[in-house]
Amino acid sequence: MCLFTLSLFYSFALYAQPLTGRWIGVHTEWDLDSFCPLPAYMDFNPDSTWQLGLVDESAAPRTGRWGMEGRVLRLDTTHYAPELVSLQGDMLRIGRVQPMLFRRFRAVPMARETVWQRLAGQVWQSDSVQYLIAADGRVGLRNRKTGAQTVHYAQVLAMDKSAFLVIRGSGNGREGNIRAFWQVMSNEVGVIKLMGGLGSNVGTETLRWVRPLAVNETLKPTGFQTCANCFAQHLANTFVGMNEISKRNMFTLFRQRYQPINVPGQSGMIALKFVRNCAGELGVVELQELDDNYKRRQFDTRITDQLRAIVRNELPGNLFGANEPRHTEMVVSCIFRLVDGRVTDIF
Amino acid sequence: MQFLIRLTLFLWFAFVSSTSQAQNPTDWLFGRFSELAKYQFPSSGESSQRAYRNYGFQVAMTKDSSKRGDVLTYRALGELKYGNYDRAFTDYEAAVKLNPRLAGEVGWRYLFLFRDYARALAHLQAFDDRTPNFDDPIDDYSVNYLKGRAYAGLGDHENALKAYNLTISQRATRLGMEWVDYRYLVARGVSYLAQKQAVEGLTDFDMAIKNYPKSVMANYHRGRALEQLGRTDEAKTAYRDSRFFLLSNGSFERDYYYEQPDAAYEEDIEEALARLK
Repeated sequence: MCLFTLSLFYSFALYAQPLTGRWIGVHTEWDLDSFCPLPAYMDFNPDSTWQLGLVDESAAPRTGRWGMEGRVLRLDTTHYAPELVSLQGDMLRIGRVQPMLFRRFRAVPMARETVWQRLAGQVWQSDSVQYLIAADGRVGLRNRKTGAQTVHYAQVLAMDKSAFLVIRGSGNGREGNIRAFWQVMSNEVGVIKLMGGLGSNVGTETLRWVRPLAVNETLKPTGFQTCANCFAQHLANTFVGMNEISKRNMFTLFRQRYQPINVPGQSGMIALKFVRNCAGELGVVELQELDDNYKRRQFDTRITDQLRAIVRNELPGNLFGANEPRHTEMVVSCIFRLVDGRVTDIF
Repeated sequence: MQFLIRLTLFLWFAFVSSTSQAQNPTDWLFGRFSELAKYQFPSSGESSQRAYRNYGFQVAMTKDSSKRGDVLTYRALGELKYGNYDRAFTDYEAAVKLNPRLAGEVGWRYLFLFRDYARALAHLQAFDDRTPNFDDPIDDYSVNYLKGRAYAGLGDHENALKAYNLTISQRATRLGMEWVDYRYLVARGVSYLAQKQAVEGLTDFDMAIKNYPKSVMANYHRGRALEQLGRTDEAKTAYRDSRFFLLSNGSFERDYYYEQPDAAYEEDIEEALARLK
């Protein structure tokens, strides 16, 4: 037990020496099951200078100084308590709330043009996902089990003579945050190996060649797709949503369109939530149905179907006022209080 | 106090989330590094499965029942943000059983975030009964104001007025009428209007406007009082003032989490002006 504790301590203990060098971002852990790729690098230089940059070089890097003061890591003016930073082998985790994970960078010399030439216009697949990559950069990610497909844009970036495959944006444009960020570890005929975030950890994804992409193959999403790829945090939060004046208009519309049904016992509360993407498309309408004592229940479908139908049929054209930013994604949520099938309050 | 700290943390997260799109991405990332250093515990300032699990662990590990209750209210607030109302409710009810002092805080959550007036009133009354004849504070409200709100929500304006009178008179005696929160005066005025006591209502709205001249709702309800008194021209002016402040303020009155219950909206003001044409 004592040996185990000691070994655990030394595997986590931070010293200046092991941190020196380049680290590459893996992901930010927004939640236990929600990870957002982190296309960044971080240099801890022996002369105590520190640099934080983006692999696509879309913005100038930030520079500063770093150091270890006992077991406290200092980045510029920020000090991290020992328990906020852990180093396990080649993995560096910073923070405990929505932590960021980095891995030690190993350069694998490779020309990005060669990688792109091999990927473009072809269909590749890993164990779970098929990558349909068009020559213009569009890429369809098709779940091999369900057939569900989302559409993004792919590009191969270069840094330190290494190549990185980045998948970002949506069918509505290249803009938007990152869906996948991989370092290309090998590029052989028929097999491309990638390294990056896999679930909560770092792993290797092997892409195997399937076939050329057919000229007439449509790259369209099979269902609703958000424009941003790291949207989980916003999706979760019902307090960060649409403009309040637009929300009032929505409430008015619900009051006008909802036809009450008179059924005793249809009382309680329904929390309604859906996402509107940057193209104005509406996602799945989620309903949380609760009785007067906040226990889950099922309401009469004449109520729930009606609420869903109002969202589907009435809201898209009426949802947003002139003051609403139209090209951003947002969560729309509200609560209906019902008594015997009548809506008594919306908020 | 702890709630205020957590609220501030949440607002900061919301601010960072909402403004991150416009920032230089490296600056944003650099900002994240600074943020990460601030939070020692996985549950700080967020609502997530990680926080839910961590709070559950804290509850299991805390011997003191009143502190366990505190932890449950933090977790419940996170669940409210997530929209998990059933879990939030379960935690709030358990928290009050463990620590009756929390009944006030839980009461106002039911009042403003659930609009469950009957349940809110029961909790607020239980909280108030702990120290009779004292207008206890609950966060930045007073218990009698919140009780008044709950009565008004239930349509019982007679009891609402009693509660409002208590809190307003105590504050006025202690600090002077000019330090009474204008929202309290508007709330009492609205209950007076519901009781067809427009003269008393008008006095409250006038005082509310004195304390906060830019209030959309105070001007709007003043218009209603004047309309009830047959002073149509003055009512029109009050409604127009209300519209002016709605446009210049950019929004109706609301808290970060919820609308003020007496808030005046554009359609209400336009409807009133159309009625008096």
